[in-house]
Amino acid sequence: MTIPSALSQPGFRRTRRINTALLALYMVYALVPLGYLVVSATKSDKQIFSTFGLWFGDSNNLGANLVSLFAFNDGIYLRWLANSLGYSLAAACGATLICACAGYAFAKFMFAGRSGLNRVLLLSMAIPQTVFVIPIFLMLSNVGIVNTPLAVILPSLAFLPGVYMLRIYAEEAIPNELLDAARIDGAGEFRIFGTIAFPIMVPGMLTIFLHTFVNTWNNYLLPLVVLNSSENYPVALGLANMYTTTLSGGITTPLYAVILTGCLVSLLPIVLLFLIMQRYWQSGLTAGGLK
Amino acid sequence: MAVSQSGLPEGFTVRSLPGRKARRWPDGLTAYLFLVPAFIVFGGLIVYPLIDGIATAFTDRVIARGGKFVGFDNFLALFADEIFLRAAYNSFWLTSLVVLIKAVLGMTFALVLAQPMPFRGFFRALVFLPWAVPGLIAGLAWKWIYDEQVGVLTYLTLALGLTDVPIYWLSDPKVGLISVGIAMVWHGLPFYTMMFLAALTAIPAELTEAAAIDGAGPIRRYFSVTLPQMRNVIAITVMLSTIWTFNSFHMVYVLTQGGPANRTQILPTLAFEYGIVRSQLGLGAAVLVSVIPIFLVLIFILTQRMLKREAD
Repeated sequence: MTIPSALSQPGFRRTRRINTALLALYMVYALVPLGYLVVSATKSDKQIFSTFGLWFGDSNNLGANLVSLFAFNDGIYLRWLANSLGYSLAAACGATLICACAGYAFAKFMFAGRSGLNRVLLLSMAIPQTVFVIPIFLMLSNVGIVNTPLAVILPSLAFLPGVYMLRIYAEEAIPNELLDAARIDGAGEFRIFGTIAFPIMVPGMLTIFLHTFVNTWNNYLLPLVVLNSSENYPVALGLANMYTTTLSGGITTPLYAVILTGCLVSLLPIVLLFLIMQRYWQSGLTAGGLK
Repeated sequence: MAVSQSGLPEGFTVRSLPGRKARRWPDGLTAYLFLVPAFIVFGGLIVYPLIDGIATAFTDRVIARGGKFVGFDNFLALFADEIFLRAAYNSFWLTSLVVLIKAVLGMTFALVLAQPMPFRGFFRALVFLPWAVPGLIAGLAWKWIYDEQVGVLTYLTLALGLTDVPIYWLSDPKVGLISVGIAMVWHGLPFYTMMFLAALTAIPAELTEAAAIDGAGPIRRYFSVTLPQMRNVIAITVMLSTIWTFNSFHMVYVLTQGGPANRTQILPTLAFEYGIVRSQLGLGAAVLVSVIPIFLVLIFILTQRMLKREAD
């Protein structure tokens, strides 16, 4: 809403002051919890309990915390990070491909049951995911893959909003003339998809990739239900487990500072990904809504 | 749209080109082949679990035992269960208020961030950061901030003289749910700001300029030009966020575990408690199946809006 004429209005100065104040408040609210993590990662356990949470202590313990973090239980933290990365990559690649194929089919083909399927798809998007957790656990245990990486990866493949988003994307980005020209040249449908449609859909697919990657990285309830041995944990579940063990006195030396350092370290890949790809983050989300 | 459904310019329809139609939609079979992976995922991870979940809700199933059909017993037990009623009440108010606050604040900050200002890109990136934080870590960070002995918030309210006695952010039955809500708003707000900001910047400047020339003030311009243009985005954002907020298991689980005395229990945490912790799968499933009717209404509104696109 950039209105040049507004700049000359008398209320502009006041509006700008209100804007600055609002923005400052929002920054505090948005950044305090993150600042707390950063500051705490530099403290010892004793300092966490004896110094003000949002300012540094008199000595820097970040190095020592990192060493204890990666040495904890023979380096299981690194294993958790690797698990999270593996689960998220596998789920994101799989879900993106599934959504791309389905979105393309909905956008560019007419087939029996198209509008009915479309409606069912949209309907199912709104059923709370938590409804599925117990049945999925039962199903996975029947198949016998509870407590394996597949138990986390398979259920994470279902990202239905992605089908809708990529469908809108394909409708708007892929000109039908291009597909027709390829058909007239005698290219098969799968070749057309692979060589023409796929490259055009890449930006939209990146959005879906990011979403499923972050959703899987951040998912807590599903791994909590389907995994039970700590070497399979993703990093969030591992840290939570470490935390409850510390709380219940199961670990002789308290590890609060180490756990908070672990939280900070596990945030870095996601925040990095988020900042680098911020453009794609939004594009797919709003594609369906802006029309 | 200047281009018709077929992708051809207006007035140059498929019908005017005899024989093209068969070519345009080569055959249904190809489409189904593209849909096979989605069908498998949809059937295996949505349809089957949903049916199984609903069926389980009508049994006395326990982990490792099949369970027999018990009719509406689980639901009757739940509606007589004070904890379930409290959890339903909490879920309703928590979801509605958190969504409302996120929508109002999200709109406010989207309007602020749409204004020209120095370092705007940098500020935008910073305020979006909480969205990238895993829910569990967000929960842990807030847990420390709320801590009654060493928490930053407790320290500040005492140091600034806002209260004489420490506020028990998580263990006071009256405050617990509010604290959970504050943390949930923190985590979900960037999504709203992001969506609303994208919608705001997509509104053609000519529209607001024309209104300004016609003498409409900023408030009038907002309500009669900007807001109607954002209707679709607002609807989709609120619908999706309502579902996500309702599902927000981790925040309650990490911050209060539903305590003290179930005062902050919500339906997802209660389902986990009954179904997984106490192994009463039937009862646990019934907790969430009982809200499906409410979501069906929401779903209906959502799909009406999304499907309307096609009619246009």
